[in-house]
Amino acid sequence: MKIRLSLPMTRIEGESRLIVTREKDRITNVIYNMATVRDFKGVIIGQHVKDLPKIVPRICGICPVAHRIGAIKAIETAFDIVTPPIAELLRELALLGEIIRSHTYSVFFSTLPDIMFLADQISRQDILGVDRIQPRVLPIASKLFNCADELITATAGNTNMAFNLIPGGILQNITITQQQELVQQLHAAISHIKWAKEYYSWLLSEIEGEIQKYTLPQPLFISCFDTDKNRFSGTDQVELISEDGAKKTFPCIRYPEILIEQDMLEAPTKIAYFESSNKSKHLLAGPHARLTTLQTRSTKGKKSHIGMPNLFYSGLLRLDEIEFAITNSIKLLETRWKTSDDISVALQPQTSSGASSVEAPRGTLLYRVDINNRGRIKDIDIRVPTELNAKAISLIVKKIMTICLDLGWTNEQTLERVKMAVRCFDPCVSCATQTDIRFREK
Amino acid sequence: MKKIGFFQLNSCSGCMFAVLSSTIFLDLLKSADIRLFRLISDVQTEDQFDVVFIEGGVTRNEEAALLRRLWTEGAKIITLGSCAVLGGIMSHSPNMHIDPVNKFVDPYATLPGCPPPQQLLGNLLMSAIDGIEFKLPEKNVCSECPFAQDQTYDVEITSLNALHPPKSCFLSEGILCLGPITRAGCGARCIKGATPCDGCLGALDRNLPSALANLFSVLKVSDSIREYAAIAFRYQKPELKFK
Repeated sequence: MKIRLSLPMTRIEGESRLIVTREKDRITNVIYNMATVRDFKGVIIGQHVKDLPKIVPRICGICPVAHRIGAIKAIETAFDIVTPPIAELLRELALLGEIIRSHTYSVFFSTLPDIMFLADQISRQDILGVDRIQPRVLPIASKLFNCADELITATAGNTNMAFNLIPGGILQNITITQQQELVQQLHAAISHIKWAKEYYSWLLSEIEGEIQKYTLPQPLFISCFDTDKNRFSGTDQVELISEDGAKKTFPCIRYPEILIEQDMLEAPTKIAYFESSNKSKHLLAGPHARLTTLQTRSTKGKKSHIGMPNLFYSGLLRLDEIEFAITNSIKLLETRWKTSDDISVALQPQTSSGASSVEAPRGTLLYRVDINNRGRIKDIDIRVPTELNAKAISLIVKKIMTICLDLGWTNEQTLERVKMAVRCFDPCVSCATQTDIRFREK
Repeated sequence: MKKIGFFQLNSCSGCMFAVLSSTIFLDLLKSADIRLFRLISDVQTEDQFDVVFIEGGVTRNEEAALLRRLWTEGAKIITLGSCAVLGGIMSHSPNMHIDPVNKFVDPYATLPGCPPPQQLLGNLLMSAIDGIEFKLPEKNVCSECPFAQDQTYDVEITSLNALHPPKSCFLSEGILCLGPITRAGCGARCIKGATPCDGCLGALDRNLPSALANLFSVLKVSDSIREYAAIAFRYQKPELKFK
């Protein structure tokens, strides 16, 4: 029996679709895909390359800065542009602001209410219920939003368009007064995030048995986090790490060869082949992958056991990343920067191709762009983290549905758990459906 | 308390996220009965709404039907953001059709912007709760711009992008800026950030092709810019060929 569910299981635009195959009392297959299509590829092709960074932030209103930086880096790679250090700094600061902003939404409005529901503190997924039980949560979220918005606005121009960041550099530098004000505001946010971490950890300890169900079968972690400089803006190398700690690193321009596309009922999903095992494996991008990259930094490819990721711990990792983003922003803002007038370099469009990788809040974001001799975009490919995670989402949903079936739970109880699992990935359907025209042709 | 719903059509969630991260969001939670808001709850309700906010353009028949149902049931429909009000950037897709909300229903109020400016958004949300009429500014962006000049522009417009903060009006530096024909309310946020206005708040006289024709008639616009005039229609699909 095939059950097709179209559910508002993500909080964000679009609806995801789950196709569940059940044979007697067994769930044999689950496929997660995205039901809405937004044709950004169609909008972008033919546009001037300088316009690309203005268009792509509209792909996702939650992480527009990451998209803008992804596009800028791809253009700079295509034209062999070396970015001035001050521009790299401001880009990283803007990205750190976006990490705070997006993770605040994910943890405080998405995962935390789920945990409170599992801990029997609220009757259903409801942010108003959260406010009644713990009135500190929403004011803290509001302060973190404010802090993030100030950081992004000062460094990138504004939160949604990040227009200060351009191919070749930046339009204007941050002032010393802005730096000082931001440092003050960020310092004030540290105590809030520490409280949030304690509260979240306490809630997790209350439901420890329950959340064991949400442990993901061992994935292949994917990340481009720059472990040398501790930067989300990444390197031009993407790293894959398997369960035994073995690593494969490849230049991001090669990602179309490495990440094999698997057609999952009309929606493309990327899975990766890893040479050491020579078989396909589901990917996991995001906080767990970044942590694994950091943990295996010193092993240099030696084998070591990597634990299986538990989805509810993603929320705790996101809070860790918010704290990291705050303290790292303070560190960068307090550094005495070498200022100069050279904040950007000129762009001379020519026939070329470029690619980039950036760690967006949800995980690795990949761009590849082909440009013609008139500076117009010939082709573009964008791979967003939700798409990279789609296979892992299918697997965890299958696992949870199987457990719920064994426990004899009602459909309503089962679906509630399934929705929680999907939310733990922090999916943004609006960006995950941005380019695929084949979907529509079918 | 007013029953409020936030609906998302084909969009990026940026406008809804602007609501969520706005400084008055906590007040809104306490002073309105929010029955549907996917960003913060997946609870669905079949209740009727007093006021609904719509983000995004219409691409599917189901979305058009939803709008008509809400309108028929008496909900005041408020369109939020450039996609809902004007069609938005996605209306340039050659492979799909997207329409603004007003093609299907008559909105009670509209607030364009990509995303809508925070101050206007706050005013709109509070007006909706208090039942007060919301009005968009009836001035252009130049009225808020520190670099605006009251003069004729003799310099040829040859560029769409600035490479440094403006010292004077972008148009006098040969950079195309849509400030003169675009509705105010943003505080000229992009221009202050060294980026010329690209018209996300829509044309002041609501007729973009005619406003653009007027603007181009008083400017010396280079052929290369005229060839790339689509830039001027970033948030609204042109209904006239402009060359």
